[in-house]
Amino acid sequence: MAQNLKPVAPPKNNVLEKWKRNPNWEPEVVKDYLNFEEQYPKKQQRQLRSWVRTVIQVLFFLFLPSAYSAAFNGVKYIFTQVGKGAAIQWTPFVAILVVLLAYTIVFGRFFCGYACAFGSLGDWLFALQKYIAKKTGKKPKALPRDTAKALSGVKYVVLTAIIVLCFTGLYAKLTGWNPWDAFSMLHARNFALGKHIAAVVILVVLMVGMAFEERFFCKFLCPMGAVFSLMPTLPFFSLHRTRKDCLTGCSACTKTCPADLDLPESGTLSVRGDCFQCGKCVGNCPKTNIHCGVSDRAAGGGKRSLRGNELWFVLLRAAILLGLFIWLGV
Amino acid sequence: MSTMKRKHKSFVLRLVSLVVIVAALLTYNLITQNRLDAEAEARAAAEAVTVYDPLAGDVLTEASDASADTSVGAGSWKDGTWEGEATGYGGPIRVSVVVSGGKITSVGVLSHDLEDDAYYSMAEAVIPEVIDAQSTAVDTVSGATFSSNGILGAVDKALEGAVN
Repeated sequence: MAQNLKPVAPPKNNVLEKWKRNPNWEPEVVKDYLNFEEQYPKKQQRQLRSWVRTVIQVLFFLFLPSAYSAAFNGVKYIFTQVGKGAAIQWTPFVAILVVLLAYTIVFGRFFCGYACAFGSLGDWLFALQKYIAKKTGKKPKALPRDTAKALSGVKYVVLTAIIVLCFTGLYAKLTGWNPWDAFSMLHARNFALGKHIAAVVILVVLMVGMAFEERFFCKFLCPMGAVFSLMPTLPFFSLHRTRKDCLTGCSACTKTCPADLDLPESGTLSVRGDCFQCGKCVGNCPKTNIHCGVSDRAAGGGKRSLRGNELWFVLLRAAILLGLFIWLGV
Repeated sequence: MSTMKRKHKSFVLRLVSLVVIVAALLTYNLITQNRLDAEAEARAAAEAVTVYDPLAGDVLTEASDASADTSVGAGSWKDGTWEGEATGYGGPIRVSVVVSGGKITSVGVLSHDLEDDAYYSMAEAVIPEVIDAQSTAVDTVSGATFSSNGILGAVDKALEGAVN
C-alpha cells in the first residue's frame, strides 16, 4: 500500500526523517499522505488533485460510461409510460435514476464532475484546446459571462422538449438523432453508424463546443444536468464561502469555476445547482475560505472544517458512487 | 425570521417541487395499476363467459379461430436446440433456442459479455414476448434498443437452422 502511494506523493525530507526514527512506519506514511494538505505547497497540491480527478474520470469513462444515459433513460421511460397511460415499473433505468438523484441530493453533482463520461470527454477536449492555444499563442475569445448565463437556461428547454416528445410518444419515432447513441456506439467500438448520421453530426458539433467552452454541454444543454440542478441538494457537502473574510474585490473562485458560479454564503441552505463539485475553487482561494456546509467554520466557529477537496473525501465520494453503480449493475 | 425564509427559499421550493412530483407519480401509478388490474379482471371474466356460453355459437368458433391463428408458427420449426449469434450494443450476443413440438419453448442467452448490465437486463424482457408471440416480430425495449435487437437477431439466426 505504502509502496503504491509513494510515487503519487513523494515524501519530503522531514517525513523521511520521521520514518527513520519510527520503526512502525507504515501507518505513519498513510497518515502523512492523508495530511498531505498541510505538508505540501499549494501548487503541488493542486497538481495532485487534478491528477487524482483525471484518474477517477478515466476509470469511470472506461468502465462505467453509460450511467448518464441509463439514468436519463429512466426519465424518458417515466414520461413515456405516463403518456401511454401505462404503469411505471421499477426497471433498472428507474433504479439508477432514483439512486443517482438521491446521491446528488446528499453530495451534490459529484457524478457530473468526476464520473460522467460526457463531462470527462468535455474536460479533455477543453484541456487539449488550451494546450494547443498555449503552443500556438492563439487564444480563442471567451464567451461573455452574460451570454453564458443566458445559455445555461437552454438545458431546461432541452429537458422540457424531450419530456414532451416522450409524453406524446413522438420520441420513439426519432431514431438516429441522439448524439449519446452515436457516442456510446463509438465507445463500444461499434462503427455501424449508417443510420446515425444526424447523431454523429450533432456529436461533432457538441465536441467542438466542448473544446472551446469549458463544460459546454453540461452547462448549456445537458437534460440530465437540468434534472440534477433542480434537486434540493443538501448544504452539508456542497461548497460555500464566508464572503466577509474574502480579500476585497477577489473573485478567484468565480474565475476558476467551469460554470462561472458565485458561491453561496456559509450557513445558508443555498446551493448552486450548476456546481459540478470539481473543487477547483477550493484550491484556488487565496484565503482558503471555501468549505463544505458542515464545517465549524461555516457556523462561525473554530478552525476545523471540511473543505470539500480533501483527497480522502474525494476518494470516499468516488468509492460510494462506484459501489452504488456496481450494486445497480450499471 | 423573514431573512431566514429568504435564505432557504430556493431549497424549500426545490424540496416541495420534488415531493409534489414524486407524490404525483406514485398516485398516478397507483391509479393506473388499479385500472389495469380491473381491466384484466373484466377481460378474464368476459372470456370465461363467452367460452362457456353454449348459446354464443359463433363467438366460440371465433375464439377457436383465434387460437388457430396464434399457432401458425407451430410445426414450422424442427425440434431441437438451436444456437445463433448477433451483435448487440457492445458485441456479440449468443442465444440457444429450444424448439419442441414445432414451437419455441425456451430461449436462453449463452453469452452477452460486452453488453452493459443495466441495458441487458432491460432487454431480456423481449424473451418472454418472443415465446408468447412465437415470433421475433415483437417490440424492442425502449431505451435498450441495441441489446433488444441483439437478442432478437440472435434468435432469428438460431431459427434459421431450425427451418423445416
